[in-house]
Amino acid sequence: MARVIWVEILSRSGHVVARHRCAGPELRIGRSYQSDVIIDDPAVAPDHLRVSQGEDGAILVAASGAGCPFVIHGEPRERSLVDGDTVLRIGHTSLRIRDEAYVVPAATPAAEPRRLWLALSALIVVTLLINATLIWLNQTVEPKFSRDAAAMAVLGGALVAWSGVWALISRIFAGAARLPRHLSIAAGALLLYTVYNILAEAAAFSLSSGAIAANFQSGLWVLGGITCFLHLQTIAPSRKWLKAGAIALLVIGGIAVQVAGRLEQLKTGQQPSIARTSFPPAFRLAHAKSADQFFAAVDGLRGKLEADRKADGATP
Amino acid sequence: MPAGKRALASAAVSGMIGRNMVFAPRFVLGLLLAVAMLWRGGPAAGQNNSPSSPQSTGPARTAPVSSTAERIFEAARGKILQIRTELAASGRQTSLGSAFLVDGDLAITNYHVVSQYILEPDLYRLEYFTTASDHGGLNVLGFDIADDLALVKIDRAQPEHFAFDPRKLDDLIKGEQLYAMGNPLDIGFAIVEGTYNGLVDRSYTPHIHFSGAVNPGMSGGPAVASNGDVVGINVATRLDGELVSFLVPAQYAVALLASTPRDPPKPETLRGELARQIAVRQSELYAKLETFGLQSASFGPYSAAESKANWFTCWGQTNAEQVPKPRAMIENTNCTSDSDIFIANDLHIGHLYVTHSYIRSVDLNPFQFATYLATQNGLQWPARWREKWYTPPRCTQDFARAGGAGRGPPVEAIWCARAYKVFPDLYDVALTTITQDRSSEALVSRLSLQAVTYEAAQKLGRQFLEALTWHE
Repeated sequence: MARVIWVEILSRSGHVVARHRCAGPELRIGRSYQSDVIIDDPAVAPDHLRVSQGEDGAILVAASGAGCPFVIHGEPRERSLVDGDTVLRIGHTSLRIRDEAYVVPAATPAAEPRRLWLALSALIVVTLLINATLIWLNQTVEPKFSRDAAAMAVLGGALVAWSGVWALISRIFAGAARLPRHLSIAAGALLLYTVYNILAEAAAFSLSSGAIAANFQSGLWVLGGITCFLHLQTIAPSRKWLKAGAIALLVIGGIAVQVAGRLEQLKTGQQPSIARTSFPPAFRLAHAKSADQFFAAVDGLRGKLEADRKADGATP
Repeated sequence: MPAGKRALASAAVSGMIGRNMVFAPRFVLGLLLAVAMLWRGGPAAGQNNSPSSPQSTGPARTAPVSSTAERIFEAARGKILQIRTELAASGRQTSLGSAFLVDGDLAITNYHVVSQYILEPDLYRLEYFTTASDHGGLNVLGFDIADDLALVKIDRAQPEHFAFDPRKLDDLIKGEQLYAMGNPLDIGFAIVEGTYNGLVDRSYTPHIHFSGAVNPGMSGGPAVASNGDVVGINVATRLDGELVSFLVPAQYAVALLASTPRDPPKPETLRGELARQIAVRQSELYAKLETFGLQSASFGPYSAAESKANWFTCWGQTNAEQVPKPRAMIENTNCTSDSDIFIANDLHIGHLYVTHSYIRSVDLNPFQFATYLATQNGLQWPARWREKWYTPPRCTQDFARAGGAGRGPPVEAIWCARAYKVFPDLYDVALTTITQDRSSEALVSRLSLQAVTYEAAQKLGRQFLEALTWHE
């Protein structure tokens, strides 16, 4: 008895956008109305593929004629045996062929929506609470509820807007918005960003390090890159390394532009980065140096200034 | 003008006389008028009293010229000159000043009148005009950067010249009539009657306080006593005051005349001489600063250094009267020195600042107070950075122990410096210290030194740091 064959049309990201149930053991795929599965792709021939299933259940795919090959793993083929996970491309269309014997993986336990939302809400509340505390700790003028509430509203709004944009992209390209997942990533990233910022500023002050003050923003670029990568993976898990590579390039580019900008600013007389006093004295970790030690470092600056003067080449 | 005049009052703005006419007299007039209005608080006052306002330069502003003034101006007619700095290529004037003859072909003017030529002799040339509109070329024989004077040689000798008043300044009496001459705003030679008011207090460079309307374009012109002898040379005026003008005492012109060789130096050597004179002058300034030494001033539980030098003026300021009530009280003490000199239109050097800000929390918690402190600990440079003059600034910062032998409070110390591109061994230095011993009060101290050798800066910086102590 002939088995049922399923032809699945896939999106670029590998998601099923259409599924056709066909009676085996043979069927035709193409653009014509004589086909069992009609594909509206101008690059697909009217009669492009013939699919046949043997007695043993093996599925053979063959090009119907010369000039209409199909592609598997980037290689054009005329005939090929396929299994249920093989992705074929004809024209601009990707498809997959499975029969009724294809074994689907066991069901994963579905997260309870209520619990998921509770966890997400907790994450957002913690993030916003930390930021609210920071706003309060940085409050050096007369407290005003409306101003602080507005700052928190802006922060919350930015979080929702960021997640919303990713959800929209996800809806367009993957067919599902996955807002809770994007919101979780954004809230987690904001939490990490906040904690990293505090730790970096504390380290810059505690060690009186202008170098940390100047360079800690590079870490923010990395954090931003990781966040975008997670969003992209949520949209589609395919091509992981390609995405990681592209984001790494963007992060490196961003850091390079930032460093170049800072160097250019220094050349135009901007203040070199200085760790500002923004923590109580109890946060000081570095030992207070003697005047001799401090002025030894001051003396060391002279050579650099002389080098700058010589590099300029100006003469009296 | 010596920008140090600005230091005489916190809100002071002063202007050089004899410059920038090329940038359109309307612009200069507008600027002066605007500044006058700004500091006087209303346009009516500005219009009536601005030194440059056409309405205010008439009889209502200047006392009626006496018969003595008529006699003096008549006698000076052949002895005063206008000096124009012109673009060498096109001959267009870029700045104007005045001068007066002191020997057949020798004339005294201000350094700042001829500074563009001294700094860029290939770009500019100098020309003089007499009251009879005769004109010709001139050479710079020498200059005195510290006193803003220059000796020039014109291309043909003149029959008359001024004599210097032989009296010492101490012999002049406050209130004595003096007569300043020059070509204000390029509108024609003029004489201005005013009074001698002694030497300016708290000024490193001795200047005569002349109460008279000296205007742009009169720089380098003579100010004479009633017998026609030169007492001083017009050099500067203050735009925030009424008829507050300044003269270089004639004795410095006499010294320049006596010490300057009569053969014109090659123009390209003038800049080297300028660098040499700046180094000497600044070396003397910082040696005197060291000689005067430091004195201790109290700020809450802290004591910190101020200079004993008598050319510093200190002003206090507090935010205690602000509404709404500030959450941290600040008491600022700003000490600035009247010791800067004119080098170029965009460069004055010699300014010194010592400032202390004692900051105390009213109801801020330690984190909030630290944040507040972060807004107050910016560096204070003595002048704006300009690529033409300075290398990029470089900084080092660390926690250090203040006080002699490290007995003072721990401080965060930030040292930034920038080198002068064309003046070897001179730097601008800004040192900031922020005490790190208490979580609800702190002292932010700043020392700013302009055109200082690195050794002198380190020495003064160390003294500044070691003078910072606390009362346990």
